Amino acid sequence: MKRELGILLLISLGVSILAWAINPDRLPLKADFASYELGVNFDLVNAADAVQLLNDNAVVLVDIRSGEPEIRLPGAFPVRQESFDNDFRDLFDFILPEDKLLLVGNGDLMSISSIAERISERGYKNLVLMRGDISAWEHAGGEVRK
Amino acid sequence: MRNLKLPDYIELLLRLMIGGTFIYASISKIFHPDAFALSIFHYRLVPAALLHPFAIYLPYLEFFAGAALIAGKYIKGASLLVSLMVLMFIGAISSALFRDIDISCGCFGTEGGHAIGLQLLFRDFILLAGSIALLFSKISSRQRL
Repeated sequence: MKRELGILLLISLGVSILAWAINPDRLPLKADFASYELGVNFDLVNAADAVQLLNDNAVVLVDIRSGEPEIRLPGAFPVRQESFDNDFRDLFDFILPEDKLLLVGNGDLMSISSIAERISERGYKNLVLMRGDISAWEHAGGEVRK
Repeated sequence: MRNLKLPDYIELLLRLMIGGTFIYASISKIFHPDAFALSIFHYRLVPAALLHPFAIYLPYLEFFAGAALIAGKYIKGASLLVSLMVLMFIGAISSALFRDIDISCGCFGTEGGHAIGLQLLFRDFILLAGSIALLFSKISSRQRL
């Protein structure tokens, strides 16, 4: 029985390591407890998946970084914390409640989830939040303008 | 207990039911490890360093234990594994109930988000009884589908 148990444990371990190694971004080994503690109720995606979503025209890109960032995301709608109502009014003309919005920020999950909550309260609940910052986006092949 | 003699059809039925349940439970978790990690986090029993490795490994353990039971291969080892996993689930659910945490069980990954409760414990105890019966069954290791 010990041998059988060992074989099953090892097969499972081997296959799980292999599956993880094929796509490590799907769930990094190190848990980001901040996102769990925040109780983020929205889909979190890594930069590669976020770029793919945009390339598939599956999302409307929303840049939630505050101020006037040097590196810009072409085609993104800015929705900033400090000017949320005005920014959201501009975005409002271009989206429907069922549209999927991809929120990209500076990697701070607290600020991105805060914006996501505010957007969600206005009836736009189909939100996807990108983990990581603009450098992760750029590194994943996402288009930027400097 | 070691000489427990189950009729062949009972043993086959137990293997198919328990194995099928475990395979079904594992599929969604394998494809959505992030959602499963969130379910595990809600129990607040697993430390941060182990949360994601656990969420990645456990579904495969469930899958291969279930597959072994259905295939009739390594039945004793698979039964022991299933029994230990179910004991762990019972412990986790009991702990959450004791602490009055209102969460979804995460038993079937993103599918079937049952709230934890006594009915879940009852279901797990049935699974445990079945897997223990297979574990101590005298004929199990010779049976194949």
